[in-house]
Amino acid sequence: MNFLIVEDSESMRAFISGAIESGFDAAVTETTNGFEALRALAGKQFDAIVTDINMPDINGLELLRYVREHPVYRRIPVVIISTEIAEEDRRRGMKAGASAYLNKPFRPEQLQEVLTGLLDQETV
Amino acid sequence: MHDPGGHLNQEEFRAEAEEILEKLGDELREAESEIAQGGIRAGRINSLFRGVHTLKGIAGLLGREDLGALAHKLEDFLDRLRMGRVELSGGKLDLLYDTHEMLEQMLEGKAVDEARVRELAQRLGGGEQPPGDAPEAAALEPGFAAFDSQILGALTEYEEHRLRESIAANRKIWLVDVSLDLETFDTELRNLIAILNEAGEVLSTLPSYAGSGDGRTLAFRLLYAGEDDQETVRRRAGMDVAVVSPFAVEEVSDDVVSPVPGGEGAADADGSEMDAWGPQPRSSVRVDLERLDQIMNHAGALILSRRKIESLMSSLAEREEASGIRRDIERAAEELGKKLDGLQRSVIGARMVPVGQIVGRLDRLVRKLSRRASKTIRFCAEGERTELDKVMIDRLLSPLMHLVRNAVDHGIETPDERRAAGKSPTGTLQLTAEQRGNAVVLAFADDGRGIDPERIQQKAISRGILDGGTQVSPEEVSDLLFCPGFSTADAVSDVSGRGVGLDVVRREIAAVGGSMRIQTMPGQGTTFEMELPITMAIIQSMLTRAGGQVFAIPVSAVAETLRMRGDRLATVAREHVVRLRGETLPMVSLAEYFRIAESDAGVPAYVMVLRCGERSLALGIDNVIGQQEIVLKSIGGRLSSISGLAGATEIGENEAALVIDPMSLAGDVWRAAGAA
Repeated sequence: MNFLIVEDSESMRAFISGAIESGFDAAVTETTNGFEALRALAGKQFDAIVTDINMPDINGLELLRYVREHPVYRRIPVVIISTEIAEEDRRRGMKAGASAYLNKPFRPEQLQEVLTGLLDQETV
Repeated sequence: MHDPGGHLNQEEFRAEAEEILEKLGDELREAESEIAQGGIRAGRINSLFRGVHTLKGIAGLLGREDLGALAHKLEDFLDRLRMGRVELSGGKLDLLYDTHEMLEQMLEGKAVDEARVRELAQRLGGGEQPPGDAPEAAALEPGFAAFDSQILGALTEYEEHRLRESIAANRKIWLVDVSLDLETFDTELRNLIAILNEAGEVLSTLPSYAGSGDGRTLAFRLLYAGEDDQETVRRRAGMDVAVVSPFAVEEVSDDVVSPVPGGEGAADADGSEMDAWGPQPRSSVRVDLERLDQIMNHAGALILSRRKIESLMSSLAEREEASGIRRDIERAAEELGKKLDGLQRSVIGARMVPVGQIVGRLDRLVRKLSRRASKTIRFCAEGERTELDKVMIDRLLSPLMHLVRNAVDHGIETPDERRAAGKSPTGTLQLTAEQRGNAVVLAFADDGRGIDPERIQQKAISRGILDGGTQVSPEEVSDLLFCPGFSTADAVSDVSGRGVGLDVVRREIAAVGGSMRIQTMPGQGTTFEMELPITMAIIQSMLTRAGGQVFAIPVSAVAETLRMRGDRLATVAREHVVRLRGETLPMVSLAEYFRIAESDAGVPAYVMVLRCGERSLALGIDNVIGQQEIVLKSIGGRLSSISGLAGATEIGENEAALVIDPMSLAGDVWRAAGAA
């Protein structure tokens, strides 16, 4: 399985990767911004995307819109990483087609649970 | 939770946190010098916000709740600053410096003064203005309503705030479309953004699939605010870009019908919201609505024929010798059914138009009326892409215009009154459209003075609608407002004194199969919520019989149907009530209500519990026939004035059913129960 992480904080990225790698037999592609994510998407098939919302260059909502309108990527589950105070942006993310969201801080198991749920749905 | 990222290198987390704090310090100093030079750079506060946001995340990874809590307070404070909810003054800059210093001490692990931390947290939490009274609200032009909603949907709250500020500052807004090579797009795009930022602000960068078909290029759409005209922006960009306006063309001609969305899979929720927004060719034809009505009628007639076949089949089922041929017919009927459903969906799809079609009209009306009334009012719309039956949209225009008139005339106060009440002098009218299942909910809200229940009550007493001394509940207030001829306007003004009351608005909404509710808060405003079927042509209904007559009740209003037990029925003040799981509901026999049966016909065999907004009531009926899609037809003559009816429908060979309007029925029953 291939996962794509889009997150500008190195620590957060390492944490998310760690959570995924300890829960799944998976290859994780880490990207630090939306531009890198766009390039990564063009080169590889992903089973799920985990993205921050508030990022430089292109924000998570814009990336999400792009994925959802794309004929090939549109069905990839997208988990948005949000925060308590960014309630409005989270709402917009869900409206724009995010599959799930997690509020920082969260435990690795929470992310694993959410992803397992989404991937199960996909295979059924 | 403690140390959630414990399996990872804590030192790396700490290092990033230190880095962020260092950068925050630099940025604060830059912010200070920018303020000294006359103005903080757009995006500076957002950059501070993002840093603190990341810091908070790392504090969580380090399991440092103290650090996380203060960073959270700071993040919240910076959020309010960047959203323009608080002003950045010298004192606030000091607060930022002090908090920054405290965060550094915490991260270093030094002992900190707890009281000082509490004091900082408290200062960061103070000084918030109530939302909605933000400075930007006052300055916004009504033109925002016409803004491309696809782009709005991809903006973060902050980016949208920047857009509003830019519009309010009368900057020109452009969409810059560019297509770039996959290999080099990031460098080229960052260059382009830097160039554009020299004379304005790139508010958003939206990647788009549309136009990047070969997989070797990526298309982007930049949302740009600046002083330059179209041609200058194009020249400045120095590469092949298209510069277009993001404002929707003022209202498409009235009789343009949208193309059928997706044919067969039209009902597929998936993707319907996600159509490409790019400049794509629109293939549509103008179709006379009357022709669509004809097709609809044919489809309706075919559905009736199918039902006839089904009923013939069930009579065939009783004959053993016909079992072979019966199976064949069954299969053929099933196929016919599927195709009919498809046809019906397509016809309905062809009738759909976005709610946005009437937004332009309403916007113009608001502008015209507010000028005349010397009030400043902005109109905004959300969910303009929500689709409704064209007929419905047309018939909604007049009640909505009436609500606009009411709001401008009575709802929104004069700028002086608003200021005196501590509100922004600019009033707001908002139309929100949202699809909920098979219904579309339109909410029309003003932030005006609201409706004073006391005044309504006095008015009702003076009009003889109410007896003196009766206390009215908030629900009854809205019922009174819907009473024929009831108006609270003290003076007949030029704007809304046209002798049409809210009763007419409600009747018009009911006539298209919708229901309507009012929510009002004195001093804060009034919201009219209209729940409408997506199409008035077809309603999922529960068919029931009462007093020999068939009634169709919209399934959306039916909570449950129960066999009636005598001990559930009681009489309170000569009115029947039903006791159900501790709840007491007013009960009315459907046949008695419409005077097709003698009163006191005894205990009904069944009751159907209807939920209409906040209220419930029990309908006494003889039996339930079943659920069925019905085609609503309006009824003329004497019947049309009967309250509680939405129309009629054909349900089989030469049999008609009366279609109930649950909302007005519930209103009548509750009023009667209240009066008794």
